[in-house]
Amino acid sequence: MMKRSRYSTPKHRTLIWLALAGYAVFALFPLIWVVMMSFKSHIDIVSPVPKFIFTPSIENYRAILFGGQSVQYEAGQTDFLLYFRNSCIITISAVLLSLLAGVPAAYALARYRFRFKDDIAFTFLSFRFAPEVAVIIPIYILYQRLHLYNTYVGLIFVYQLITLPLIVWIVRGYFEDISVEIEQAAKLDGYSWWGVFTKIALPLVKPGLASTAVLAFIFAWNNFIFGLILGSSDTYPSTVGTLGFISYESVLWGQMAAATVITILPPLILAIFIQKYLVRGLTMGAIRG
Amino acid sequence: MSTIKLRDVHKHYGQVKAVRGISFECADREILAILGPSGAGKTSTLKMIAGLEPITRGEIFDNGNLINFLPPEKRNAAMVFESYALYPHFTVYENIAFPLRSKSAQLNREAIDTRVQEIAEMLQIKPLLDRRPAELSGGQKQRVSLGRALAKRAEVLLMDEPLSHLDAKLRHHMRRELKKYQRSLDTTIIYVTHDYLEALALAHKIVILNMGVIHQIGTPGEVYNHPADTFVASLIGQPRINLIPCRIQNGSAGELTCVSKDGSFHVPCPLAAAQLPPDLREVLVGIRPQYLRISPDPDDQGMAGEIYVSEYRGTDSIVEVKVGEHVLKSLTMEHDYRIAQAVRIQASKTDIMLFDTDTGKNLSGHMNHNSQVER
Repeated sequence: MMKRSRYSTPKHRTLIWLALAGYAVFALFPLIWVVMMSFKSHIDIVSPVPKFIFTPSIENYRAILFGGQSVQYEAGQTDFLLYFRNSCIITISAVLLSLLAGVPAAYALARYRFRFKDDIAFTFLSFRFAPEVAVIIPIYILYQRLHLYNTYVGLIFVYQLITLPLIVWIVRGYFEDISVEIEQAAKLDGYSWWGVFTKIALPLVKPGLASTAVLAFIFAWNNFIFGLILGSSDTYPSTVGTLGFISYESVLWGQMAAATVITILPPLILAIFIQKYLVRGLTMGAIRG
Repeated sequence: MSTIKLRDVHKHYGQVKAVRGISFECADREILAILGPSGAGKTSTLKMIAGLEPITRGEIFDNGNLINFLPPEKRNAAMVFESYALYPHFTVYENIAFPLRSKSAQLNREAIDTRVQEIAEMLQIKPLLDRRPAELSGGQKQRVSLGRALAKRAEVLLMDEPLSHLDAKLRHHMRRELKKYQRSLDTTIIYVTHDYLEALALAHKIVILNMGVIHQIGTPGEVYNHPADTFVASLIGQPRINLIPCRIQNGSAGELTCVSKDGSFHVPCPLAAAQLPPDLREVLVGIRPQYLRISPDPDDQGMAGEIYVSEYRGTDSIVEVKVGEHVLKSLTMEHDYRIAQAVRIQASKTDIMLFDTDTGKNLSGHMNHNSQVER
């Protein structure tokens, strides 16, 4: 039975509801506005009085997905589909690479005692709290020399700064939550290290692994600066590609909004699907049963 | 057929010395109990035998073969963990089948199924086979973990406090079951416990461990009746043995008597003067509570005392008697004592044990370290 909180009087509940509604409007308004914008005509968008009632049209989507007359301005042309594909390739590959390298690392950090263990773990974490702009210039110069500039491989590699620490740290917590005796039992049951890892440890962290991978995907997908500096018009992810709608002559607000909406969709859908596990994934390791 | 032998085995965790040079041997098809309080090094010893913990120093042999460096998956041992350590993502069936599905087991699907059903039948867990460990009660989990250990048909079964998380009734039931299985399974069992009753009831041989050192190895009868020292004497038996510091004096009739400092406690000395080490004056007198007899007649023989507190337990009572400054525990069938009632207490010479005050060693000297195991 739920304990009746003292905040459950009708008055309190109304106040709480109002506060939450207020925050929801504040947080969601830009999103709603950009969705509305994506369905407006150019005239409606630039109208001096913000328009809430308009005739919706899918012209902007048609233009960015299939091209067409709407892309009238030479300088404003942008290949959104290419950028969206770039985003998919770079982000998914980056997450897969991080899983491949990060899961064994997480296991080692969770289970074994070795020299500099804590220093190594901290170094991983430090990738997360160093601002990206602090490292971007040296990386840019290195990439130019190593011919990694404007390549998928280069971008996938630099995205490890985002995805790898996340996976190592969260998955380490999941491995630590598995009782050592369960793995010892499996060893005595006749399984080698690899057998124990694949048959016991991995299946037990699988739900956590999936949500952590999605989280890493979202962070990587949202990244802007790495693509902007280390990519070029062939390899831009869609976050950077969206800028292409700004030209000397005009800003294609409608198409930009449509591109933004499509870019938001993959992480949004994933986040909704794994919402339940995501919160658990983030608080895991902080709370010990 | 499996004989486990440990020779001068040490286990250090950094600065902590968990096990400090222990040696013992467990004969084929014997139940050996390792008994000791928490932190004695019992689980470390068991995990070294299993191969789960590296050995700091010393040797472990299985049938005369050194197995120090044999990985656990290659050892001929199965283990029941204190935490049960069931695989949470598997059903009961899969848990029991897991050791049978390993490469080394080399069994086909039908053979595995037959073996699992057989074990489920024996442990009466057939209706649980489709459940997951989270849906089981403590007693059921215990059975499943035992079943998983038995499935492998290992020659050595290692058990780490397998009954400690069960309630008293179930523990008693499982103790009997274990003894029954052991007879039908023909396995060597090394059983770790902190419960002396479990050790006495199950084991053929008991190794008493404290702070990583062996205090005594013997049959249940030996460790109970001839404890090597005060530690063993206090560990085994409930209520605990009475230990009273005394001096040995010449009594009025020329016989040796043990007398406490204030003179109120005095019992005949069980050993003749020739049997005692020379210059020995101070000893600890040990009397088990059931051998301390209380007489309500104040004119009877023995020491004068008064009832301090009495605890009725149904079949018997624990009566505490104050003799001078000492409080002695007695286990008796009588229970109609009043607090502060004047009584007489005495103990026969044959029920009295003498221990060295400094070392705690039993001075009676007729206990035997390497006696034959009774079956």
